[in-house]
Amino acid sequence: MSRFDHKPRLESTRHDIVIVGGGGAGLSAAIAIAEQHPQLSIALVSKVVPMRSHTVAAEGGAAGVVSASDGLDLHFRDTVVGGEWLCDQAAVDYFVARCHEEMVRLEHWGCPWSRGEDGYPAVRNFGGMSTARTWFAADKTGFHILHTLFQTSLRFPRIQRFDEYFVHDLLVDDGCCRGVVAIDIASGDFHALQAGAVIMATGGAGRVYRQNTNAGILTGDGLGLALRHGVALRDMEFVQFHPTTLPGSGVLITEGCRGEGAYLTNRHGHRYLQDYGLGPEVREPVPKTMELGPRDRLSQAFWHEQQAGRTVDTPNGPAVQLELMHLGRRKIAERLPFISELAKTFVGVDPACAPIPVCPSVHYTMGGIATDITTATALPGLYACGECASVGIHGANRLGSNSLAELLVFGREAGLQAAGFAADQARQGTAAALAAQARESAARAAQWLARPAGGLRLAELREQMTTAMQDGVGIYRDAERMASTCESLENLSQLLDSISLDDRSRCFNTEWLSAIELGFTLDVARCIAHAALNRRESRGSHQRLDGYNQRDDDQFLRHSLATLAPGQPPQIHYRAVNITRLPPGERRYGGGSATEHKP
Amino acid sequence: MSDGSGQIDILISRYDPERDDQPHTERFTVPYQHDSSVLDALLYIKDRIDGSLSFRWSCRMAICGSCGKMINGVPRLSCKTFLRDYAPGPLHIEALHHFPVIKDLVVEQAGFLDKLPEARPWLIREQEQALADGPHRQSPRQRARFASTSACINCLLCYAACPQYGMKPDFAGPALLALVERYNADSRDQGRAERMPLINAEDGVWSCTLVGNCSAVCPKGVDPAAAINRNKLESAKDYFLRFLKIGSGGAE
Amino acid sequence: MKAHYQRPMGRWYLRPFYLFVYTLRELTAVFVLLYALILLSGLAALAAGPEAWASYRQALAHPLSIGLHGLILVAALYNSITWFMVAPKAMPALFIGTRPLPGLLITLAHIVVFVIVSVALLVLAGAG
Ligand SMILES: Cc1cc2nc3c(=O)[nH]c(=O)nc-3n(C[C@H](O)[C@H](O)[C@H](O)COP(=O)(O)OP(=O)(O)OC[C@H]3O[C@@H](n4cnc5c(N)ncnc54)[C@H](O)[C@@H]3O)c2cc1C
Ligand code: SF4
Ligand code: FES
Repeated sequence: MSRFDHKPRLESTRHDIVIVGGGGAGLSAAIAIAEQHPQLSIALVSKVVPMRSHTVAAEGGAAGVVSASDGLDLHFRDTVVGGEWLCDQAAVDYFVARCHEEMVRLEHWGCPWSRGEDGYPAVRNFGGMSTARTWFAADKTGFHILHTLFQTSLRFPRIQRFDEYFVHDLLVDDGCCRGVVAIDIASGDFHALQAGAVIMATGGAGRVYRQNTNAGILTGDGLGLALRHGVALRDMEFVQFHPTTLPGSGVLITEGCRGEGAYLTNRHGHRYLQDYGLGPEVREPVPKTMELGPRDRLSQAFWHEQQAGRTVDTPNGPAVQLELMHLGRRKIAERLPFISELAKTFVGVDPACAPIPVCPSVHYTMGGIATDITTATALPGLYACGECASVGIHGANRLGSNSLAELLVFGREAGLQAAGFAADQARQGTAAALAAQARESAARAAQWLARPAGGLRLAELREQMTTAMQDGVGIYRDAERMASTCESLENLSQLLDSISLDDRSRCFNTEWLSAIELGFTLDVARCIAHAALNRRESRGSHQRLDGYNQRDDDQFLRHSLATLAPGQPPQIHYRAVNITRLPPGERRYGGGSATEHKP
Repeated sequence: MSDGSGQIDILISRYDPERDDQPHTERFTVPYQHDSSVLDALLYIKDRIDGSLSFRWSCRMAICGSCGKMINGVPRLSCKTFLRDYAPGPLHIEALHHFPVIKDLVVEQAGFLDKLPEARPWLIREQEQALADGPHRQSPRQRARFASTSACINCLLCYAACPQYGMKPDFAGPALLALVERYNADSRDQGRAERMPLINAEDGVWSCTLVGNCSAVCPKGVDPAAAINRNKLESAKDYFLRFLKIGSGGAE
Repeated sequence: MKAHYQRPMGRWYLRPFYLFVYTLRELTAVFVLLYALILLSGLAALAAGPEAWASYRQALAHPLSIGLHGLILVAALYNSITWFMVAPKAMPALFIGTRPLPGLLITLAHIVVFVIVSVALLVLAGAG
């Protein structure tokens, strides 16, 4: 009946370096290699065409010290204090020293940064930063960064793109990562890409939760891939809730609004953040004060307002109000045009006339594939950068605008490191062994299409997972609910094999891909839940209500490392934090009291 | 218009290359709320009714450019189009016109992607500035010159709206020519001459008959029709100058 | 293994409606051309002598001709206005500071000038 034979084809190609992910991190890596090592062949593999990657959605800006009154040390301190000392301080030092250069590099490639009257790129305030150092391109910074990188990458014919190829496995031989196996989505055929080194740049895993700011593609594939090959995920319990997103959809309303001076008010029109140690109430934006506090504190304050019944009700749940009216139509049009469009489109609000209803949603995966400061993972030949990686700069709470900068700094680093590794020909694997591995892996993935009908629906399982995470591992956590989430997740991952697909065809079968993704997402969810349950303290974005309400440096000033063995719940280990020069201290915001608001 | 929630019938053009010679239409009934988008409806169908329905989507916030479909015959982003505006239906969804259909609502974009490098969409400088010299200067006014053309999300709605592209698949088309204009209009760029061949080519600006529909459907206010037609002036000038052998075409 | 489906173009010039608007714009150019030919033949008649000129004027006064001129007027108006609507796209970009001049303003400016010139011509013709 079919016009095509159903036998999965397996093609195979060789490259010096394979990059998985065409977002800001993957593209930075690719361009760095192409520029510095023009003799190397680069395969850029992405399940969506690169400019569709979720970097495109970043709005607010990218950090990079510019002004004379600022300094690298200040950026370092803001980041380490913001991350509540769970940052690798050497990595942070390396990072802050390179941000500015990367912003300039992007400018030279054509990035349309917003400008001051003097013709130099402008900077804005951002949460938790002591001074304005966030570069921006109106409120579409990520969009412009991604398109600039993508378009610049077209200059280099050595970057061979594999657009809409879905990576479902790594090739590992002789203890080294030597390539990936992918599905060519359009045809459903398999493709093994062998390489001297592999870079993971697959982005975050926000889809683990129900209400999030992430794209549909952010299912944590890279994290899942690393886990399955024995590489640990670090600090996964730290999940950032962004305080200002649209109720229901989770569409992001950038922190840039607050950087420009927006207010957050409760149902009484009261700027409630002053009640949570972030005051005094100021009319103009003051760094690290009120609305410019860090994201963890702001999301937590929302939770308390909600408990106290001071939020407003929307058809999609409780919200507070983000007021931009006093900024004036002109400034909104110039600095926040996309926010204006989003608010009008998705909630029917013109922000120049009325407040936008907002609430916290899951936004950013602070943890990730554990790497050292050079982006190398524990698996030789495997590098990781961008949101899927944990190089250690975000700690327990990322500061807004540090991530886009991270993509550039560590994307480049990953590219150069991987190039160095791949150039060492002695490490090349045995082609025959790799081919056999690829065949096996392809056959496993193809099994999804042969499963009997009548099983569970994929979406049902996914919904149960996201609900369990939303309920058990939210802004405030307790042992009972986390344990119950852990249990549900273990059950769900047993059920994965009982799913059956409606679509057994090969060509552009997105249901098939979703099933493989769900496998990755579930593994990531399990790591988050177990790491959270095991961290018996409160720090940054991980806040507990069950007696572990305080930070406990003695026990837990340590990174968590999650590993996964088949058929077992995740194992959580701990590793010391690299503290080079800023000893742990108190985390203060606002001009007011240092007392932390605890329930 | 209705009160903003209820049920709506959706007709979807389906095509499975492994079985079909041409598309056929299937009917689905989905519930909707005041804020349900067409993308929400497609996801509802995929999750609960028929998992084999294929379509592209990602950001669901009108910025990644993945989710363009024909909605009642008009190219639109499905995440930015709301069911309440089409109640009580039926609503007809098809793959973007003019592109080859791979499956259901998924089209082949290679026609656009493969041509991208011809636009030479990167900053071209006679002398590259060293990083240590810091950023180029550019006034807010100069930046405004390419603000609209740099807003393109490559959603390709404009191609689906352009009958010339439908008849001449080799036509560079609205978004690509807007991209050329984006760099040409950037005060930091000096690569106009390198981009002239694409503009002048038979499949360049002269294939455009100023239907203007590309600009009408563009969800980001790029106004590709303007970008193209302004370049007709450039192209004519370029031709004239070359004719007079005065210049080789305009690096100004 | 790819077997893509390529949709035929069909009668794109009729449907959807916005393409019909465009098709009409292009078609109305024929009427504009027709009018130019009529004027041209008038010129030829004038050159040919008073008799030819008289019969030309007579022909113009024929009800069929008046009907045709009515049609041409409508078509020419449609042609001009639809072109005014796309005019902002065919001219160099205009800015006030950092903001682009709205296209509607440019279209309106065209229409205003068009009306003024038409009225002036009518007045002149009436006076002459
Ligand atoms: C709405 C929003 C706004 C934000 N705003 C800001 C901001 O203002 N400032 C800031 O600093 N940070 C911001 N962030 C965070 C920042 O944008 C992200 O952390 C960053 O863009 C991630 O980039 P990336 O390159 O790591 O991954 P992404 O851009 O997400 O790209 C992931 C890539 O991996 C590919 N991929 C994934 N899985 C597979 C697979 N299995 N096979 C093949 N390819 C695969 C995808 O196709 C994609 O190309 C924001 C985040 C969001 C969600
Ligand atoms: S010009 Fe507009 S319609 Fe065309 S691809 Fe760009 S954003 Fe989409
Ligand atoms: S899903 Fe990204 S533009 Fe609609």
